[in-house]
Order: sequence, then C-alpha cells, then structure tokens
Amino acid sequence: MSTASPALDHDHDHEHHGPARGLKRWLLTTNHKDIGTLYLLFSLAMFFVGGAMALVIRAELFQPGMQIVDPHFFNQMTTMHALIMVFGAVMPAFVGLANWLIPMMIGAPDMALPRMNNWSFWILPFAFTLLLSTLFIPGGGPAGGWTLYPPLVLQTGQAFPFVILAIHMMGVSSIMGAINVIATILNMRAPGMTLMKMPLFVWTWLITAFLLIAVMPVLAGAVTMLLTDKYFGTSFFNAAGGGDPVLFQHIFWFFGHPEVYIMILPAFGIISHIIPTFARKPLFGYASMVYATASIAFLSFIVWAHHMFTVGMPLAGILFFMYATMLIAVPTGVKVFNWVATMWRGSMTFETPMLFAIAFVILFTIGGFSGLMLSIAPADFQYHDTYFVVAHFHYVLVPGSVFSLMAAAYYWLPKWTGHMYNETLGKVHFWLSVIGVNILFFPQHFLGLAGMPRRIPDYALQFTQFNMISTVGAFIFGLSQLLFLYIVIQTIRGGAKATDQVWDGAKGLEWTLSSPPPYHTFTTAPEVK
Amino acid sequence: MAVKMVDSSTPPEDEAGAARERVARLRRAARRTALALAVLAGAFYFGFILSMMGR
Amino acid sequence: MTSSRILRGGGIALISALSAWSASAHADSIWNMTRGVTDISRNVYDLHMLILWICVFIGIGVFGVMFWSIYHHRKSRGAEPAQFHESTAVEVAWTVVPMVILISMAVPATQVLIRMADASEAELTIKVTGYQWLWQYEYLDEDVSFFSALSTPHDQIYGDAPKGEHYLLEVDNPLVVPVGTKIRFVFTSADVIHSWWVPALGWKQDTIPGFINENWTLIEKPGTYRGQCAELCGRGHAFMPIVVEAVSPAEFQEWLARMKGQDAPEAPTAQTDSPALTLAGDQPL
Repeated sequence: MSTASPALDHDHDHEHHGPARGLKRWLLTTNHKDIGTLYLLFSLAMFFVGGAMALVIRAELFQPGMQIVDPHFFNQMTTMHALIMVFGAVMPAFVGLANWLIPMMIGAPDMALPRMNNWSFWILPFAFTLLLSTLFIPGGGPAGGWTLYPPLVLQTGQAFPFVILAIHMMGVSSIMGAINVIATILNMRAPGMTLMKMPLFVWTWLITAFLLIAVMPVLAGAVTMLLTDKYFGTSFFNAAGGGDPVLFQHIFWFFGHPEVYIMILPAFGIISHIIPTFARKPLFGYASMVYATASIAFLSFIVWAHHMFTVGMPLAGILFFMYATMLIAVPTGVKVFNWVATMWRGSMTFETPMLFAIAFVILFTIGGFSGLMLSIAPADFQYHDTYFVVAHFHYVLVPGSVFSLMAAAYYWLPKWTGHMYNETLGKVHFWLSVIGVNILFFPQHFLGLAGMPRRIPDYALQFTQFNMISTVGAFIFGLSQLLFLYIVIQTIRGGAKATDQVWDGAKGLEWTLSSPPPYHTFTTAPEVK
Repeated sequence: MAVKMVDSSTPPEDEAGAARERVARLRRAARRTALALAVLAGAFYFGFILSMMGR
Repeated sequence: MTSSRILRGGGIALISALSAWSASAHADSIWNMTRGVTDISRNVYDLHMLILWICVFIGIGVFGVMFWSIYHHRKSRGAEPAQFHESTAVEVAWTVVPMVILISMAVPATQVLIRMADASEAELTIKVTGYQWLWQYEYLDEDVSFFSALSTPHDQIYGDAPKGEHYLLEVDNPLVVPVGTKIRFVFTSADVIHSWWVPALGWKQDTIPGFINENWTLIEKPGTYRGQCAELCGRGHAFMPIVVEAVSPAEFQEWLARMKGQDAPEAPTAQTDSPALTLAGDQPL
C-alpha cells in the first residue's frame, strides 16, 4: 500500500526523520522498532547461552557415570539454564515482539513511554552479565534450581546476593515493560480501534502484562525475604526460627504459575495471527479466544499448589488445587478447537511460519495432555519431580513458546527487514527442529514414568537408552538453531524484496505499511472502521 | 479490517499539528495510567512483604 | 536391550514400545509407570492409564480432524476458503463436553486420593529423616534406628570399574519392613528438603526440616523395592537411594530382634563415610 509511506515523508519537516548513526542510536534510542530489535537480538543471544548449558547437561547424561562435569557444576547448569531461558530468552523475545508489533497493530506512533522503554531494555544486559558472572565466583553460581527453594538455596556461596540482585533487575525490567504495554494499549489506539477489534496478539499481551504486574512484585518480595533470611537474621522460611520452608514454595508458585502463562499467552496470540493468514480465512471464534485467554489468566492465580502436591497439604487443599488445575483444560481446549476450526475449509499453504504454527498446535497440545495427567493428584505423586514433568514443561515451552517465536520471526521478518527469508532454508530449519525436539523430549516421558528423578547428574542403568536418544535429539535440535541464526542474518542483509502485504492472506494494520516500515509510523493515526 | 489512511501526501500544517497534539494528549493520559500501575506494583510488593512480617 | 541396539534400530524400539504397553502386567517396564506392589499403587497406575487413554483418544480426534483438513483444504488442491468465523453453539459444545470428560476423571481421582489420605490404624510406624545425603530410619516404639547410605563404590561412578546391576540404587543398610502390614511413615529432614520415593509404593513424600509429614503403605509381595531422593538437595542428590526389603512378618520380627541387640547408631556424622560426600569431593557443600 502506497498510502503508508507519506507518513514518513510528512515528517521530513520536523525533527527526527531517521535513526541516529552508530552505537548511540542503539544506546539512546526511544524508537519502538529499535528497542524491539534490541530485545529480539538479546533474547536470541541468551537462547544460545542457555542452549549451550542445556547441551552440557545432556552431554553429561549421555551415559551413566560422572564423565564431564562435577555434580555441583551440573546443578549450576540446570539452575542457570532455566533462569536464562525463562527470563533471558523467552520473556524478552515476547517483549521484543510487543515493541515491534503493538504500536503498528493498533495504529499508534510509538509506545506510550518511550524513554522508560529504553531503560527497561538496557537493564537486561547488566542483569544477565551479573547473573552469568556468578559462575566464576568462588563456590560457583546458584545451584539450588531456578525455583530457589530454601533451605537449599541458602547454601549458595558468595554468589547469592548477586543472583538476588540480578533477579530484582529482571523483575524491574519486566514490570516496566508491562506497564508500558498496558499504557500503550489502553491509551494509544487509533480512532475506531475498539477493544474487541484489537488483533489477538495485542489482546493476549494486554492480559499478559496484567499478569506480570500482579506477580513480579511477589517474586521480588520472595527473593528479598530469602536475602534477609540469609543475611539479616529473619526467619521467614527457617523452621528453627518459627518460619516455614513450604511458605516459600507457596509464594514462589503464586508467581510461578502465572509466569508460565506469561510465557504462553502471547504465543497463543501469534498463532491466532498466523493460522488465519495461511488458511486465508478469518480466525474462528475471535470473541471466545479473548474470553478463553482471560479465563486462563484468572485460573492461573488459583492453581499454584499443583506444583507442590507432595509437600504434605491437607486433603481439602489437594482436592481444590486438583479441580482448579483440571479446569484449565477447558479454555485451553477451546483455543485449540478454534485453531482447528480456523483451518477447516480454509485454503491452506504451508510456508515456514505456518509449519511452525501447526507444529505448535500439535506439540503444545501434547504438552497440554501431559499437563492434564499431572493435574490428577494421585498420579502426580508418582510423576512429580521426575523426567515426566521435564518432558511436560519442555513440550509446552520449546515446541510451544519457542516454536511460536520462530513462527513469529519468519512471519514478520519480511515486514521488519523488507526482505524475504530463504524459504528452502526455513523449511529445512523447521524439519530439523521439529524432528530434533521430539527425539529430545519424547523419550523423557518414558524416563519419568520408569522412575528417573529430574535434576540428577547420574542415573541407574535402566535409564541409559532413553537418555542416549534424548541427548542425540538435543544436539540435533541445538545445532539446527545455528541455521536459524544464519537465516536471520541472511534476511537482514538482503534477499528478495518483500511486498507491503507480504502474505496474500495477511490482515491487519501492520501490513498496510511499507516493508520495511518507515522509522516513524502512524504519526497521523489511521482510521479503523 | 477496513482501513482508511488519512491522505497526508501534502499535509496541511494544521492537520499535522493536530495529529501531534493528539499524540501528546494521549501520552499524558498514558503517563497517568502508568503511574497508577506502578503504584499498584509497589503496593503489591510492600503490602506483600509487610503481610508476611505480620504473620 | 543394549544401548547400541536401540540406537541402531528406532523401528525395533517402536515395536517394543507398543508391545511393552500392551503387556501392562510387566512390573519393571522401561516404557511405563510401574504397577507397584500395593493396592494404592495399582489404583494410581489405573488412574494413570485411564487419563492416558482419554488423552490419546482426544488427541486422535483433534489431530485427525486437523490432518484431514490439512490434506483436503489446501490451496494446491484448489480449495476455496469458506468465510464462516463463529458459532455460539459449537463454542458451547466444546466447552461442555470437555467439562463432562473432566468430571469423569475427577471422580475416580478423588476416591483414590481419599483412600491415600487415611493413615489411621497402622501397626508399625517408621520415622524417615533426610540428610545431605543419606537417610535415617527409626522404628518408633521399637528402639531401632540406623542410617542408610549409597553403597555403590566411587570407582563405578567414575568409570574406573564396571557398573554393577543396581548401580546407584543400592545401600549399605536397607529399610526392612513386613508384608501384609499397614505401615505408617513420618517424614522430616535434618537440613534441606528431600523427597522419599519408592515407585513400587505408588507415591513420594517430601521431607521438610522442622515439619512432620506422613504417609502409609501396605506391601503385598515380598521383594526388594528401589527408589531414590526426588527433590533436589545439593551435589549428592543423585546419590541417596532408597532400598526397601519387604519380608514376611516372622522374618521381620527376627530381624527386629537382631537389630535391638545392636548399639545405638552413631550421630549423623556417620555420613562422612558416605561415598556421596567423597564424590569428587574436595569442595565441601
């Protein structure tokens, strides 16, 4: 559409017609597109750092016996892998997409609070440098698991206060990002863009941002209490002083369960854009998708104790949390059914984003099934803290959240860069990823059922075969992500010119802009009818 | 979604000025939203720790 | 099955997967949850299989429709997109039907849960205390108490000796219990949180410092049942297994009498002899 570029031309008379040059552009930028790019590149970097740690874990587990690392270092790897993937890779990637897309989708000129936006990004590199540096501190980094359960986490050495500070910094960054998203969506929409006309990615992010504001302060409070327990003589979680170690688990999972939805709701939004585009058919059940997202968000606050069925809760407590957890299957099912109904009688083509989206629906659903199994408390007494749980949450996080991010990257990369990615390489990357991820995580279901606990560096002999298969899958999956890196770089540097609409079924304001969009867009609001 | 772009190929100065003013107005409202949310987050944090201390 | 065989033939693995699943009576399948040796553990297993099959059927339905659509409704086959995009009746249907299925799962789950919660009328009470990284067992009212630590030699862990059959699942002093007797366990910990798990009994229970948890079992079949700590508890987490020897009540009484003759156990400093602690271990934790 040629009507979009005048938005830039018309800005010529005023200040800021393009980005500044050099390093300063990135350090001082308040532009939502630049900040979105920074977030996405940062999360890609963290994805490789966290992935390298995962490969250390899988290499050690290739066969029984201690071969490569010390058990203590192994525990540091599992802990750091989780912290980096959750807070460094998946969450910033979604914030990056929010930055790039929300203003363009709602017809706003930028995020509502551009300077705060700059700050919330630039905290992150410092937070993660601090976190990673703890690996080199005497006594090593945190090794008590990303769940930070006391009293074990209080045995961390000198790294402890640095880890807490790093988590605080990530929390501050997330809260500022979330405030910015809500302020933008509630205030900056173009005339005519009513709430129930908003694209689903915007809706899911609005709900996600509220979750973030509700639970990140709780995490901050919990880790602050850990800090005072260790250094200032309080006894929040110390039974000898009248505290309760299980209290921490309740608090942590009150944060932790909404947190897992923070990492999946925006993914639901992305998939709800991609499937209609490539099915060339409007999304089925838009309103029910919005309500389902809101229901999932609400339920996420009343299910936390299903992470701790074995701590010795009273029967009534277990029953309540079991029933509430099972309920989540209903709105989640509605979403899956809606996606399938959107594909039904469409006119589908299978470019790379669509392939990732379809794999998302299937593999996320498998993760949902194992989640439903885990919700059944008596069975959970067996599944809990085994590789069955590891398989479950990796299915919803890797072929779930991460695949949605890959899909989003392929889907919007032509819009962002103005170049088409290499479709053949994209498909090769997809097939390597989808095969690798299943070889990696599917055998872990069997390992868990057969009795292998999670977070162990060495195991009994009957678990050998599946661990070997899983490790082979891990290296296939991990190495094939280098291909993704290559494809992204190649697309940024050049390639076939992308049209404004890019995909012939694509609908929405962002596709009315040129590819790549001008530095400032929608300085004059579009009218949405 | 039906979209009609405002034709701004030769924008009259008052129209561009009106757009800028609109954005400035929206930003002021957004700052109030953000402040309210920040207060909310702070209240969660301190309220939460204080309630735990009172246990 | 040797590892090389598995790696060579994924097909063989798949076939044996199916056969192992159908032969559900097989107790120590590497493919599935153990049925265990108690009434409760079999209840748990049956629940697990029920939900599994429900999920499999739903999955076949949903993915079946999806793949049918992917095959038939593709542009390359000349499919024209329909434009329907909502239906309240359909939305209500796929909200209500899953609710009904969930209720049908919740009912048996609740029944099993209520039975598991009833630890009353036990004939024997054993106190389990978790340590970094061994277990202490105390037979309350019997004045018998001992520690139980990993007995796998250091050399096997570091590859200097061939690994034994029960590598990492063997201990110096196993927990000896009578079959056909309702046994109540109480759990606590001396340091960090551990979790006492023997899959054949059908549950795990966290041991928490400063707090007491309880659970119970009634083992039906004599035998040796192995498990391990299930909650991350530091560098020795993988190295504090559990071995339960279930024997006849007569043998148990004999064993108990023998144990009563022995001196009280050493203080928890006995753990310095544990292979777990010496494991690569100049670095104290």
